[in-house]
Amino acid sequence: MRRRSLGREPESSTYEHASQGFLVGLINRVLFRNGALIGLLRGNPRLLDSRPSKRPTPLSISTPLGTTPSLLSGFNSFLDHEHRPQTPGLEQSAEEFDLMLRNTPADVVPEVLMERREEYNEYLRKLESVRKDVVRRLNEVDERVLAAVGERADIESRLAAIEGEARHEPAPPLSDRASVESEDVYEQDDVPRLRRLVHVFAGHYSGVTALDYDPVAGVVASGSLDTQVRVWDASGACKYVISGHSDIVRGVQFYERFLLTASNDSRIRMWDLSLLDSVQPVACAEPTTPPVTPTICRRVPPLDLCCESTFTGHGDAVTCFQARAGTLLSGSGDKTVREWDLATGQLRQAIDLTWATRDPSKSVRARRGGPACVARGTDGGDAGFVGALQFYECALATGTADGALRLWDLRTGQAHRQLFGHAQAVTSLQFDDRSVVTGSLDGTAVLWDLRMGRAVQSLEFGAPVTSVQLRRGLAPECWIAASDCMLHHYRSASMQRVAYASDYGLLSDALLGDALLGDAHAPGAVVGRVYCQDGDTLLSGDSEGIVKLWKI
Amino acid sequence: MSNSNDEKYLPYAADAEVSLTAEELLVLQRQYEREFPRVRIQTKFNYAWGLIKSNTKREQQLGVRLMQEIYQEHAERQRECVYYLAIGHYKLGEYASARVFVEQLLALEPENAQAKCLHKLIDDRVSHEGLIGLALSGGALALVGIAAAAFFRRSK
Repeated sequence: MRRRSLGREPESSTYEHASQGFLVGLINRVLFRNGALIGLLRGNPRLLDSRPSKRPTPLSISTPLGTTPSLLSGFNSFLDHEHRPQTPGLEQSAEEFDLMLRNTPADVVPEVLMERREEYNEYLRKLESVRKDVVRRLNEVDERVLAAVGERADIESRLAAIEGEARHEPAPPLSDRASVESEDVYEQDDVPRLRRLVHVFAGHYSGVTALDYDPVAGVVASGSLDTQVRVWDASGACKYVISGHSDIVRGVQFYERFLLTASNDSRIRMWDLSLLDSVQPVACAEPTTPPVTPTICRRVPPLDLCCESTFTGHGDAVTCFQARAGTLLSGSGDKTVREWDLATGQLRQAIDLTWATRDPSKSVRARRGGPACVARGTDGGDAGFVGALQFYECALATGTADGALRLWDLRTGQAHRQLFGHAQAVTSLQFDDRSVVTGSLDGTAVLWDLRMGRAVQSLEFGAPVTSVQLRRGLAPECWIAASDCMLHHYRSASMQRVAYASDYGLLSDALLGDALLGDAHAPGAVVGRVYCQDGDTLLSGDSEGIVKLWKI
Repeated sequence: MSNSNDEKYLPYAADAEVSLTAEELLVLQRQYEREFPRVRIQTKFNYAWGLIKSNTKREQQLGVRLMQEIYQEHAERQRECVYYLAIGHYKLGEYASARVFVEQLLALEPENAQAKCLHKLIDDRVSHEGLIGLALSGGALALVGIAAAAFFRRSK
């Protein structure tokens, strides 16, 4: 067969098939569909445009083959990796890629690098899903460990009881041991009991000022007057000690895989918990419980590397904050409430509270009695100019030093409602869709109804109320810490107040130590904080630095 | 470049005749839809190549269309796309376009084994079908002649 030479220039506009002879070529053109012809007949100009001979940028100047990572290798490795989702990988290792990059002509290097970047993003996404899967499995294992430890403890206590009976002195029945001295205690069936004290976390040198619990990962975070934040895991061991603040810690919160901490040094820092593993070895482990998560100290980057971002900008101590759905709101002693974006770390808006609280007619009540409240709060880490805040989408509630509860709209930055019910600074508040509970230094905790806009119930305690938690149920229930060694519980449905001075149903003596037997917290310790957001878990921290985890 | 002759860089045309399983194609399609509208070039290529390899005409046409889009959008991939477009048109039966693409590639990379192989395949297929076409047209002419002769004989 005759063949034309292959050295034809690409710009030839006629497509000739002279290699087959004229007649055959004619028949090819007429009888067999030629895509370009058909496209023309159909009026679809795109197919014609794709013919390289008409393109403005001729093919001859495009990059030669072999200088860019081949698309086919990506195709093959993608299909291979789809069958092995546990171990995602890159299509080309870094060395091969660099080798290829050296041969690539300079004008195409940016595109090739951008493709590489997209590959890395995709790889990162796959790694994230793998990480979530592994975290889930870790949680399952943790739960099983917890269950096993509990079972073992149950068996031990039963064994001890049996042994006690076998000896001649009968062991005191549980109900006697659980009798309480305080006159306010009821033992009714519908009152939730502190069924067990699950863990005692001891390690802080000074009073506990902030608590949070992550039910998913089974970790407890506590901040304290000794400027440390400690993270405890489900077995009772201290997982991490974060000494990233220079002043007392005012708040901690778990957010996705981060831990946010706020302190009187006017910074809020966001720590990446998964990076902390490589910084901290397991600090303290109870001798009876094995460490659940082994941590291998590979390299020791400074603690700051684990700090994902720091929100600076407040002029004075940050006294309260909350992070939710990508937004962080923080209230501070510099009399502003700032809204930050968690993903970028940027400030969205700052609401100045001074003019809103300066209304003379309304603040007269606050001036009456009680010392002037310092903007950063008491030494025990309570109150402050903005003692407490909580927000949900664009509704913000703040409790301020003038004793007022204000409800703001974040879109406008204005307070649309002010509720006065306290004579001194508000130290804590919590709301749900129907009610708000606030606690204040004047020793009262007030339960408000949001729809009616007024106080429903006011509870008197002898000492400043430092922490309140609202649990939603058929009717609101509150847990209150009131500067004594008891945990107070209030149910609005039955208007019952119960003070728990001890825990019913101890795990076992050996685990706790005799000194703590029979007391919610040691008599000298003042319960500073409670936390109860999970359905059946209650945390309480006191001024001695002990954190207790209860199952209710 | 020696790499362009490497079989891992460009597939031989025989590779296009082996189609993927339905699940694999679905995986590619899902990945493409997940990244829509800003699809990565690798994902788009994976999906287009998977479609071209299939046995259904509609899928092959869709694959060729996607490959054309890659050709138009990414200048650094044009030479590879020309080869894949040639294979695509070859499978669709549009030998004229396929031949144009392949010959352009050969003009730039005369030593490319895969391109040379594809060129030969196109020629073989064209001549094969050309001969069939000749036979068919010859048969058609013969039939017309017989019918005309019969008609004239009858009319006599």
